[in-house]
Amino acid sequence: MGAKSLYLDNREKYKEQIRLANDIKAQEALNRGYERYKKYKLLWETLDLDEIVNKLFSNPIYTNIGQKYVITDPNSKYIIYCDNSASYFRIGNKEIPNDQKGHYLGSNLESVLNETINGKIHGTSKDKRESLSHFKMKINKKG
Amino acid sequence: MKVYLPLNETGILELKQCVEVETENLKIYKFSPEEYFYLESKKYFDFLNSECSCIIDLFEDEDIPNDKLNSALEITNILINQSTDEKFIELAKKFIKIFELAIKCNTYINIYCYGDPVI
Repeated sequence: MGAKSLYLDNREKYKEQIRLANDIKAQEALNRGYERYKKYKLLWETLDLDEIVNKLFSNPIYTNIGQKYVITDPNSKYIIYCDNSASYFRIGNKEIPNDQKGHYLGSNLESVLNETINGKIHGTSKDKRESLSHFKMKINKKG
Repeated sequence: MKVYLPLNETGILELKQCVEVETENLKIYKFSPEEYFYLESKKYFDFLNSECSCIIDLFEDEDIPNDKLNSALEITNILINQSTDEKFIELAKKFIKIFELAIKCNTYINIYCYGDPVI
């Protein structure tokens, strides 16, 4: 089973689990991801999760952390954070601690903290940094 | 979780440049993962999100803009007054001080939630 299928399967199980438990706190936390997706999805690039996971990981490990589904691999410097309510994800670089905003990468696997404009390096604006480091998940009809 | 509070225009610039060390212009308040998850368990961020029209969430950083700081202050005071949970009150009071200082400086705050620092 590919990463995308595992993600979608986990997402449905997670939603069902909090629904059955009538866990309002978890449901509200989950809604935040959907709100973010609705608000910003037009600004985000679409990537294929299966392709990214196959490219970055040889032995992916999948874990639920709160409302997020995290994919990592001890042999890789990368980590992927999928949202469990809407189909989007971020990619992190474990060489930069995740308590720093520079942890999150663009689709070229480079930092999005700076950009070059007219040959000069500038700090990327928050809006642009956010749009460059969130990715809509490519979902085929077959899932 | 970290809360970034620029004290002036230079601090705002430093925040925009993702400066990760405290300077004379930018204060950074750290909350342990345990404190973050405790506040999360008390739905504190859901109240802030609702009152301040923002989306504070795990693995995201979010601004509470200047014009929403009074709402943040108000809802936090209400939650403190309604609570008998000393741990929650202590953490919420830390936020009160942050909101008050940001209002005094006429700036805003940025909240970055990263859960556990090492995964």
